[in-house]
Amino acid sequence: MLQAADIVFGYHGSRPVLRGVSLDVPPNGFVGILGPNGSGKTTLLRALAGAVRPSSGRVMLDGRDVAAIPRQALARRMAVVPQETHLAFDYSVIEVVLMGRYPHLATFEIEGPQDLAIARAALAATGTLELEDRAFDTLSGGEKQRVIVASALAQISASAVPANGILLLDEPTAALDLAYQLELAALLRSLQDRLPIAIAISTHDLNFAAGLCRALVLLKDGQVLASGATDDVLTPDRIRLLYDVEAEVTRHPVTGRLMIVPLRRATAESRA
Amino acid sequence: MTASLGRRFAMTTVGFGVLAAAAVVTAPLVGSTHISLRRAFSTAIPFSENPDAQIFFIARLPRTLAGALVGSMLASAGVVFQGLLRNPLATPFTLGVSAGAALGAMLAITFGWSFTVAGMGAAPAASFIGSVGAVAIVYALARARHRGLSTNVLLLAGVTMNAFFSALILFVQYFADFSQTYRILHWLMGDLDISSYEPVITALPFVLVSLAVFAWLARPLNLLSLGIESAGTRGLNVATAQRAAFLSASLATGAAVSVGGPIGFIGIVVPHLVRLIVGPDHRLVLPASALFGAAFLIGCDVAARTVMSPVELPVGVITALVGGPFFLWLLVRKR
Repeated sequence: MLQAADIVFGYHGSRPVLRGVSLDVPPNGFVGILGPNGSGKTTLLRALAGAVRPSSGRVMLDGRDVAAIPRQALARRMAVVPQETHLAFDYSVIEVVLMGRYPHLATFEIEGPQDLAIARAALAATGTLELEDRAFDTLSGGEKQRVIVASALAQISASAVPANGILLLDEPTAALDLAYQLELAALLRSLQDRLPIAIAISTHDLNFAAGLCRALVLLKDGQVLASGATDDVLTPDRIRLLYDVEAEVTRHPVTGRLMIVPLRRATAESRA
Repeated sequence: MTASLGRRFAMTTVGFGVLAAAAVVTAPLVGSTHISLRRAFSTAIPFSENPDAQIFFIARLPRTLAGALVGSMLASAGVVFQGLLRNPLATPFTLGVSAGAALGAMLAITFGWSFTVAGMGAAPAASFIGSVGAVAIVYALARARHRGLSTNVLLLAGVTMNAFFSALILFVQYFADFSQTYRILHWLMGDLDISSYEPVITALPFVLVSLAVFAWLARPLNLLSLGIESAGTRGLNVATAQRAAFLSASLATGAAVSVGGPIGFIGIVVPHLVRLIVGPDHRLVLPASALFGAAFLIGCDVAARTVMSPVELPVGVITALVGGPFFLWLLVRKR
């Protein structure tokens, strides 16, 4: 269970980016952090990962303040997938995935057969096992993102069966075209069905979040506008407040998932 | 992924180790006077009556060992700077270390300082002090606005310090007479004209400290290749790793430059050649570069001593002649 309680954070003493944000990522939960650009989504994710320390409020993992958890112990429980990954050198796919094993190894220890087995299991889980020996830089954007997800899985796994860790994904589809977005969504859904992991994802894409996440946190100007089960949270009124856009919220006749159709920019009358 | 990392490590260190050892043993045999390896190591002849042994151990071996030390430090420092800055084109001299060293050496030569510190003459000692000064300034700037180290500020501060020190060097040179200017030019080209063990012994403690830190840095440098944020979320203490990398690589560079002057291109040619052979994992690249750097510089120095014999070229001329075209090839090479 990952919890943020009333966290406040600002970079270098400037205006706070997060102004009292609370959220819960339950075990096996799938939480979407939704908001316009500049609303604080990425910063919130960094705070959840322990990469930035809130000036007030706390982030708790299983009841312990993440600031008090040694960084390697924290890394064994929680992994982050960034928007994009650019390598400085020409590593192969398996080498990138094995880097996820860093927090499991002692200072001069090298990866053993167990680590290799875990890395391969993670590649298999993300459908990238056949890319094992390819140079990471030669992969497509979608393949790269799946390999980085595999690296994150290898990081939170104590054995070849991934343990109950947490994956944080920061706008994972921002640099992907539509086919890869759908592919990544399918991958995350299947990982969640098969593995005891919790996922939190930041995105500004309403339909991506609506189709994928069980719970949503709507973030606006560093504050929570609304949070709860996806079906309850996504209403035309809230979308207007969040994006300043008129939208229709319906249910798709085939998939049965919520579907948001943006209509136009909000006007003075519609806001009132 | 055929062999395990442990086996690849053993193969790499043994392979490049044999190459370095062969260079150390054969380089002293080459020179204007022909000597025999067997007679040099013969115990039947007393040392005082054995000219082969005297030439081997007194005239040529110190220079060879100095070449090994300088080559191995510049090559491995190059690897560390490239990893730290996440830029394969960084060199040990990118961040101002060599310019600070050059200014120190220049001041010592121009103003005829004649002190010795721990067995080092005035020019090497002043160059080491100059490199430490440059490093301290760049480091302070890069930390001024960040909790960790900002690699962008490091890079900009380093490049600016290089330019600023170069301006100071020109200013100081104005006060030098003709023979001093010749010595300065010679020093700036990088030269291993060494005929005692003292420079090597003085530099050795710095070298050993740097190598120990490099060994620890190998895996952190791999993680830094993913990006600073990603390295941090995988459990690496990024600020500590960056500081250790910057300070140890600067120390190694300062020690190397105080012995041989700013010998160019080793720090970029060797790491790239090594990566072509062993791949990008720093746990292989670092030891292989340290060993191959030694062999490479010894080889260049043999060439410097022999190609225009009896005239000896500064070894920096040879490394630049070999390294320049290689560097350009790297830039245009198809990936």
